[in-house]
Order: sequence, then C-alpha cells, then structure tokens
Amino acid sequence: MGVVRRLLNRWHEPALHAEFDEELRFHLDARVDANERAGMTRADAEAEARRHIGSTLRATEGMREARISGLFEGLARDIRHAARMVRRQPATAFLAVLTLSLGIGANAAIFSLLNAALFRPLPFPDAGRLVAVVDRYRGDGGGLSGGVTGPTIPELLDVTQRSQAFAGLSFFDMRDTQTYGGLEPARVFAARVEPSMFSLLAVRAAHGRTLRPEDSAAGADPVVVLSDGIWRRSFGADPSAVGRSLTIDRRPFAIVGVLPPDFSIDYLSPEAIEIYLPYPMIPIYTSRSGPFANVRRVTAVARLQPDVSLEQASAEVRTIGGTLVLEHPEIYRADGSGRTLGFEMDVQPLRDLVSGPARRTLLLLWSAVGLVLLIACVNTAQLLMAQAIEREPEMALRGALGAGRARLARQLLAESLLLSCAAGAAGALQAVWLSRALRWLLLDRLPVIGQVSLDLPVWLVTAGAALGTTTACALLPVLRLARVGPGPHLDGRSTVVARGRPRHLLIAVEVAVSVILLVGAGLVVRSLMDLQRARGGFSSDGVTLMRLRGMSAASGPVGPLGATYRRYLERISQLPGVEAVALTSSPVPPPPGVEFTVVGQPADAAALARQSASYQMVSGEYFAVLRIPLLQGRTFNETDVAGRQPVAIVSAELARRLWPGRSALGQQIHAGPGPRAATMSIVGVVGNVRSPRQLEDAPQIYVPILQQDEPSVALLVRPRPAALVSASSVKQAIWSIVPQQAVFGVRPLDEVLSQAMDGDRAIAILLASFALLALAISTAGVYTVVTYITARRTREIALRRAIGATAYDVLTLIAGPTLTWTIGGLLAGIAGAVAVSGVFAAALPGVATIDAATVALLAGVYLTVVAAAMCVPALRALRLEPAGALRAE
Amino acid sequence: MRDNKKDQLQGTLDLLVLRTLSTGGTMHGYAISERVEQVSRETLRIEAGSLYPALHRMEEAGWVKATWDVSSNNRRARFYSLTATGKKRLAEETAHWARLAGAVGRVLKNA
Repeated sequence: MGVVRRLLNRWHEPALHAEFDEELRFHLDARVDANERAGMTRADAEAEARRHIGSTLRATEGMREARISGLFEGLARDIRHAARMVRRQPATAFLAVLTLSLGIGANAAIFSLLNAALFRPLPFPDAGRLVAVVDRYRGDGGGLSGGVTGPTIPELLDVTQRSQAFAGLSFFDMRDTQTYGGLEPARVFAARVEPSMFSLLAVRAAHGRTLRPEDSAAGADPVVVLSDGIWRRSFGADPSAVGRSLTIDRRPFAIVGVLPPDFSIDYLSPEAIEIYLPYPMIPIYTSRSGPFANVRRVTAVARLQPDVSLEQASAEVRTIGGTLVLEHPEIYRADGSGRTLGFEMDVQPLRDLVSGPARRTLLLLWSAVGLVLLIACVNTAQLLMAQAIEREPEMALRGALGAGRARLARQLLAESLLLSCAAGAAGALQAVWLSRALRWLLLDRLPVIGQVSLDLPVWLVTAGAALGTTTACALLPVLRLARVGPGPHLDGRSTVVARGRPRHLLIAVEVAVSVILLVGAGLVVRSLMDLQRARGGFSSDGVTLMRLRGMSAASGPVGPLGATYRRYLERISQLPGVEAVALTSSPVPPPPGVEFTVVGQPADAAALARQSASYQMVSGEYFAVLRIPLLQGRTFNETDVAGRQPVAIVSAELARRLWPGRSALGQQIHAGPGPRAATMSIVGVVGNVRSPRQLEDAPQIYVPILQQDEPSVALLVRPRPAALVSASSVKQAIWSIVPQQAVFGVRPLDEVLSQAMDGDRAIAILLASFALLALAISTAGVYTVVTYITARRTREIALRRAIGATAYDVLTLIAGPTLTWTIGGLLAGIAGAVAVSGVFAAALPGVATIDAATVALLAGVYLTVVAAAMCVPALRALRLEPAGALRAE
Repeated sequence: MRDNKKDQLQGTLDLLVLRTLSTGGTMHGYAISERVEQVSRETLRIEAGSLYPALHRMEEAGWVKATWDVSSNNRRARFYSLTATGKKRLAEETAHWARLAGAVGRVLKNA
C-alpha cells in the first residue's frame, strides 16, 4: 500500500521536490500579498513573510520524509560510503576478499562433489524408493567377512517369491564380451540384465524395444539392446541398426533396441556399460547346485511398495535371509560344522550403494574446507574489527552528531555486504575451476562424481556461505560498537589501547583450527608416503599389461581355456625381444582373499584353524616377469594343467606363519573360492609381494592358471633389456591362434599400479592444500593483529624507547601477548587434533594415530611462520625514530 | 500507519489541522495556518516547517486528500480536504484530547 507508493516515489523525487517548492512558494506569496494588503512596503512584507514561514528547509525535509521511503536510500548511501572506505584501505579489503573467496570457492567445489555423491537423486523416476538388496557376512567368513556383497541369483529368486515389500526386483551383472567386424576384435563391456530392470527403472527404448522376460528364457533367440554411446560410436546413430545383427562372443545377436542417452546404470559399474544382454535364466544360474551357483554374485535393485518403509523392507529381507540359513546349512554354515558365517540379507538405499565408501571421505573433505572457511571468517572479522577500531573516533563523532547506533551498524554491514559480494563472485570463479580439477583428481576413486556439476543447489550454498560468513564477520565489530561510547575518542585520548582479549581469543581460535587441519593433513600425507613406499617385492618397470577375456580355440565362449592360454604363452614367448610372458587373474593387486585350511597334522594345532590369504591364479613365468624371487622348490610348469594333481606356491610370509623353521614344500592346504576349492600340495615358496596400499606382508597363495578355466585374465609381457615388444605383435601372435580374441586395456604395468593410488594421492593433496591454506590465512591473521597493535602503540613505543627501553622490551611488549595466545591456540589445536585424529582415518588406509614427531614438526613449522609474521611489524616498530613518532600525533 | 499518540505535540498539530479542515472544507496550507492563527487569536502559530510535513504525512496516512487547483488569486495551489478516515480520526483525536484536557484540568484544580 503506502509503503510501495513511498518506495516508488523515489523514482520521481525531482518532480516531488518541484511540487514541495511550489506549495511553499504559494504560502510565502500569499503571506506577502496579505502583508501588502495590510499596508506594508513590499520589502517589509517579504521580510515578515519569510520570518513567519520559518525554515523552508525543514518543511521540505519533513515533506520528503513523509512522502519518500528511506528504506533503500540509506543502504545505497551506505554502500557508496563503504566503497569509499574500501578504496581507502585496499590492502585490507583485498586480503579479506582473497581469504574469504578461497574459503567459499573451496566449499562450493567440495559441496558440488558431495551434492553429486550424496544428495542429488539418481536419475530415475522416484529414485528415493529404489533400494539395493545385499548380502552381508558378519562372521569370520574369510574373504567375505565383514563385507557387503551382491546376493546370488537363487537368493534373489527366494526373496522375490517370499517378500511383500517390493513392487519390483531385478538384477544384473557385468562382463567383458567381444565383437568382431572392425579392424580387430573389440572388447565390449556388457551388462547382463534381468529384463524387468527396464520397467523397474521406468526406462523406455529410444528406438525399438527394451528386453522382455521371454528374452531370458532358456533357448530364447539371442537379443541385445545397445546403449546410446555404442549406438552413436559404432552405428553412426542410425535408427536402422535395430533389426541388424551383432556378433558377440562368436554368436549372432539381434539388435532389438537402443536406450535413450540419459539412461545409465553406470553408477553401479566400474566402467561405462555399452550393451545390455538378457540374463539367461537357466538352471546353472538359478539353482543352488550348479558349480558357480553360490559364487556368482549380482547387483540387485528393487523398488519399494508405496506403503512400505525401508525399515519394514529391511526387516522382511532379514527374516528371509535367516530362513535361508536354516534351509541351506551347507551354504551358510562353514564345513557343515554348524559354525555360522554370520550371513545376513538386507536392503539399503540404492544411493548408498552408489556413493558407498566415498561418503566418509567426502564428509571429511567437506569438514576440512568448512574449517578453512571458518578461519577465513575469523580472519575477516579481525580485519573488519581492526578497521572499525581504527574508525572508532569517526564513528564516535558521527554518533555524537546524531547518527544512531543502528545507522552505524548498518554502515558496517554494508561494508561487509560489499566484501561478501566480491568474495562470493571470486569464490564462484574459483569453484568452477576447482571443481573441474577435483573431478579430474578424484574420478577414479569416486566414479559417481562423473556426474558432478555446479548446479543451483551448489550456487545457493555458495551464495549462502558468502553472505552468512561476511555477516558473521561484521557482527563482532558491530557488537563492539554497541559497547563503545564516544567518550574516550572525543576527549583526545585516542591512543587508549583497545582491550586486546577478544582479538587475541580469535587468534587462538584460528591457530587451534589450523593446527588441527595441519596435523590431520600431516597424518594423511605421512600415511600416503607409507603406502607409496609399501609397494615392493617385485619389479614392474618395462612390463606391459594387456587384458583379455579368454576364449577357447574351439567354438563356444567358454571351454577348457588352459590349453588355449598355453598356446598364447608359447607363441608370445617366441616373439623377438620378449624375455618372459605370464598370465594372471589379478592384473592390479591385491588379489581377493580366500579362506584356507592346512591339511594333515601340523606341529602347531592352531594352524589347523581357518586362515585367510590372498589368492591369485598365475602362470609359471609370473614370478620371472615380475622378478619375484623363487625361494624354495619350483614354479609352475607344463605338467600343472587341468586334470593333474592341484598344486600351489605360497609366499614366504605364509610359510613362516604356518611352518616356522620347517620346509613348506610338500605340505597340503585346502583353499580356493567356491568350486575352485581344492586340496593342493605346495611345490614352491616365493618372496613376499606388497601391492600398492598394502602396508604389511600378507600370506599369499598362487595356483596355476592353466589348471583353472578362468576367463578374465591379464597378460604381463616383459621385454628383454633395451628391446621393445609392440602390442600389435603380441596381438598378432594371439590372433594366429584365436582370431576373434579381443585384447584390450594395453598399458604399462607401472602406470596401472601408480594409478591405483591416484585417489589416495588426490585426497592427500587436497587435505594438504586445505591445511596450507589454513596456515596461510591464520598467519595473515596474526600478522594483521600484530601490525595493528604496533600501529596503535607507536607513540607508546617511541616513548619507552626514549626513556631507555631495550629492543627486547619492545618486542616483548608488542609480540608477547600475541605469542602467548598463539601458543595457547597451538596447544589447544594439538589437543583437538589428538581428539579427532580418528576422523582422518576415513581418508586413507593406514592413517596412524598421532605421533609426537609429526606433531612436533608441524608445531615447529607453524610457530616459525607465525613468529616471522609477528617480527615484521615488530621490527618496524623498533626502527622508529622516537622523536618523530612522538610528534606524529 | 503511524500512531502519533507517543508524540503529543504532533498529535495536537494533527488535531488542529483536521478540525480546521472539517469546518473549512477544502483549503490550501496557507489558509489552514491563517485560520488556526485567527481562531486561536494569534496564540497558536503553525510554522510551515511543521504544517507541511504534517499535511503530507496525513495524506500518506489517508486522512486527508490533496489536489492541485487554482486559488482565488488565480494561482496554482495544493488544496486539502478531509477523507472519511480523516473524519473518524478527528473524532478519536477530539475525544482523546477532551479526556486529556479534562484530566489535566482536574489535576490543576485539585492536586
């Protein structure tokens, strides 16, 4: 109503003023006329009228106040004033904007990760009701213990049959497949999908159709659905691709559909899925009795019924899991001994499965940048307060002249608003490139952040952080203003030293928080160094890794693979320049763990208990290729093939633990996952190998890969010194045996191993940079305070010097209290770091508890930097020429 | 909009203006000030510095409305008249004033 009109009136202020003037002039003229009519001379009449009317200025001002809202007018004036003040102290303003924007930018970037990983819904309709069904082994279940894994298909079929909680349940797994037709056989990453997945996720084909239940039936015609990606890359986005045939693993598949570009279950996959095949619902997969039935695990997705909560669904699935343990003790109880494996089934939000372990890491990073922002904030409050105290005489004067407290407070807020806009804008810029850098740094460790974008929620958080922090920064000086009266500033005692306690308390807070960050980052960096140093016991330089999914020379995707592998190895080892070539099931260590038992009567009864070790299938030359020393016995040879006595090679660590002081050769162990479990004789002992991220020697078991039908393998090729072996010559050798064999992922092993630590390195780098940022900002804070104190006490220092104070006295005077508070903050920070050090364990494996050496080192570094920051202004004070300084005020 | 009770002087000024307008009909500022001066036998003098801000404030509050018109001496002037809200306000202010004056009178006589 009136308020709006009064606001709008601001726009025609000049017109209004003209009206005010006209109205007043009429009043004046009317009075003059009346006076003249009463017989006065013109001059007298005018003089009387002017006296009578009083102050026209007051009238105009009064009318203006009545008609025009002052709401924004004051603000505009404040901002203009603020801009003037900022221009007057550009260094201070620059420092404040810089520190704040660093804090804001880092926060926005980390929050964009957090948002993508934890908060933003997955891109499926009603994604909040999607859950994952998982298995959990709580007991001492060897390799599975404590872990969450995908369920098996028979388990899922039971859940589907018995539960009421789900509106739909589906599953998939992923595998390498190969296609032909291009320049060379190509590897295609495929998902095998139970067909109801598409309706469960409410996705329709962009062309053709998605999969139908009958596609999964035994004997159904083989069909395939393409992802948008492969459709564009390999089919030129031609809609007529539907209906054509695609040869996958030597069998023709009819292309029945193409998925839309935005559909992807890649979130749940280590690599982008290119094609979707129907999961064959045949007895070897669906029954509990097949050789792989209880080993093959899938990713299960379900949609909750509309009226069912996560808790209800969880309770129901747990009950079903409990029943399964009773029904199938041969599976869920070890050795039939009745010992439980702690098997449980459960559901969890699909989102948790996607973000998984990233959650704690991201929250840790976010807390770290939150602390950086806190320090930046405290620092800016310091700067603003120094400025405010600087200007107290001015404020006091303006207060005495009638400016209300609220008016002055508004002025300070306007200044902080100006700073926050600048800092927010600069922070947004930094967020853009920082989030790009983060994406690049962390993509390997957190696939979900491939979806990171700086979207509206991120910008809202950024803007909120900018406004919130600067307002908080302005609050301290405003509160202080409320306490300070004009008295001391107007009676000439302006050199009165302001009470330093709150400022020093802020310093202590800054120091404490940065020390926590520094110590935490120190721990993480040290553990990174440990992890990097850990790798050892083998040599990977010069070795090339090539992955393949094995195909037997005979037709059919799976068959006795050992014979084919043997021919590959023979042919490749004859290539010129090849020193040694080997196959392994685990291209990037560490290999998965398994349980095993010692067979027979060991001296130590405890050795009969179940042990766990890593388990890897390798060919005989593996140890030669990686230069792992053979300590005893022999390596695998051409006699260790399918159908012969199973044998194993163990690491020195395993031998040391089980047969200390005796030879491990000839001992027998029972080991292997699922159907691969066998009783094996130990024929050799090799040196311990530590893979990246592995801090301790662990027991290792190697079994001959030629005895197994393992399709997913990697070739390791070591060239002779100074020789080169081209990948294409290796491929040609393989194709001369199996022309359809796709060879992919060709990379130097060194690079693969180093990349395994990229995520760790990125996190350590981030934490370290945040800590250094905190160090820089808090040092700037200390510097500001000491500079300020020195400036305030110039006259006092000069006086003291004049009457004989030594340099030491002056230094104590200037830096003493700050140093005391800094040390206080340092100690508090160390205590805080000790208290929260456990949190940093979320960053990397092997983050140790705090050790005195790290703390002492970092504290020393910190104190040195802070002392240097203090010395600069303090030394400046010492160089003062007493007489000049005394005259200055 | 604005409750003037806390400012007794301003309230009194408003009362005088409203009352003058209620008897005088449509008047410009000069006429209002002359009338008050005349009726109060020169005891109450309203300066332009108080009168015009009050008029504009009351206009914003909707108690009076203003229009530009031509005065008797053929010049443009701003004329004020009472609105319905203004009349109600006048009644309230008058009652309030009477109560206050009565109370003050009783105190002066009896205290």
